Amino acid sequence: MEPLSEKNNQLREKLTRENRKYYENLLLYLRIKGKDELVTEAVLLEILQDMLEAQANGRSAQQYFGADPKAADELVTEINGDKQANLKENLSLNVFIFCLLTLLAFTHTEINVIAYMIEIVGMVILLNITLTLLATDAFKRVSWQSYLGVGVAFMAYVGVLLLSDYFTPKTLIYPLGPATLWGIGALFVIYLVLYFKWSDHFSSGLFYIGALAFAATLVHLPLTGNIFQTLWGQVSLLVMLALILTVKAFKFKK
Amino acid sequence: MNNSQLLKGTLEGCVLLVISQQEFYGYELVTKLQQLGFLDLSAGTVYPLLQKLERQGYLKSQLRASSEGPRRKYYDLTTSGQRQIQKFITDWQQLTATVTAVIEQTGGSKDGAIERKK
Repeated sequence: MEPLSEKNNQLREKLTRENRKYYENLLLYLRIKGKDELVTEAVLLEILQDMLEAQANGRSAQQYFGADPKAADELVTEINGDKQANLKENLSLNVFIFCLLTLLAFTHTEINVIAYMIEIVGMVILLNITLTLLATDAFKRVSWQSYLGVGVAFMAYVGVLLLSDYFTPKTLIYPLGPATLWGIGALFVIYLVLYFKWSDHFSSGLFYIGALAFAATLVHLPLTGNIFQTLWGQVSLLVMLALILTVKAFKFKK
Repeated sequence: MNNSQLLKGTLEGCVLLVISQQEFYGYELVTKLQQLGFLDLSAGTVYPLLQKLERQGYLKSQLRASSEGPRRKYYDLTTSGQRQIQKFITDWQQLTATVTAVIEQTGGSKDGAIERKK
């Protein structure tokens, strides 16, 4: 069966530019705040079909759905019911595991546990800030200062990433042998395959696995290893992967 | 109680009453409610209500082909929804009777209220 999000992508093309902008704000807001992906997608598709009908009858998306942002909040409340975790929370957990495993898989000789923990927690915090900003931006005008703030936070994070190896205590540094690395690699692949298989994004999942396999090869091949085993090389690779993952994983917009 | 709270409770009953007549999908229902007199009603108020009524078991939904072509989500009343309609009608009649009595006993037509103030 065609995933609901795919159908949404196709139908959304039929909205006029102005109506599409309005609808995509709503879509972004619901996808971030909605806790049940299937229910959220079903509601989004239902509203889209209705908006298209309204459009055909000469009514704009805003005239049809209303200008009050509280309506979107009420919709989120009803969609969520008593569900516990929303996309942001689920994603935080997944990013945590993803970063943990990626950083470990990229390690070739030893691991500084404290530095890794700081890097991972930083990534989860940044992700939450970004998602909150995106959700707010869907219905309220977010100042350029907020965006600048997030930009600065990202840069600060890269700084922390670079410095954490040098400035954290060296008491928790463990050597890693090839057997451990193979074990971590295997766990990583199993986790990714299972996650994407169950999350209705299997084809996108293959994309990530391919991208990560490529990255890991760069780290471990003798020719490219010299570059990508340095701190800067690994940071650039990780930032690149994190960006690809964020952009592809959400598929907020086509 | 402000207007929007009053409207929501009332609207819930009216949505159930309208759907008791025939199945509706979102757009049709919003249009029908507007035709019936809820002129300022926006769809943003109706969708959360439909979600809520479905979750409470008063409505059930089904994806079916529409006259327009694509499959739409049609809402229909459940037995529990029918009981809820009876409860709504009873509550509403009691409320209107009470409010009418209060208006009559306080002489509270608009003009009357203005006169008292003077």
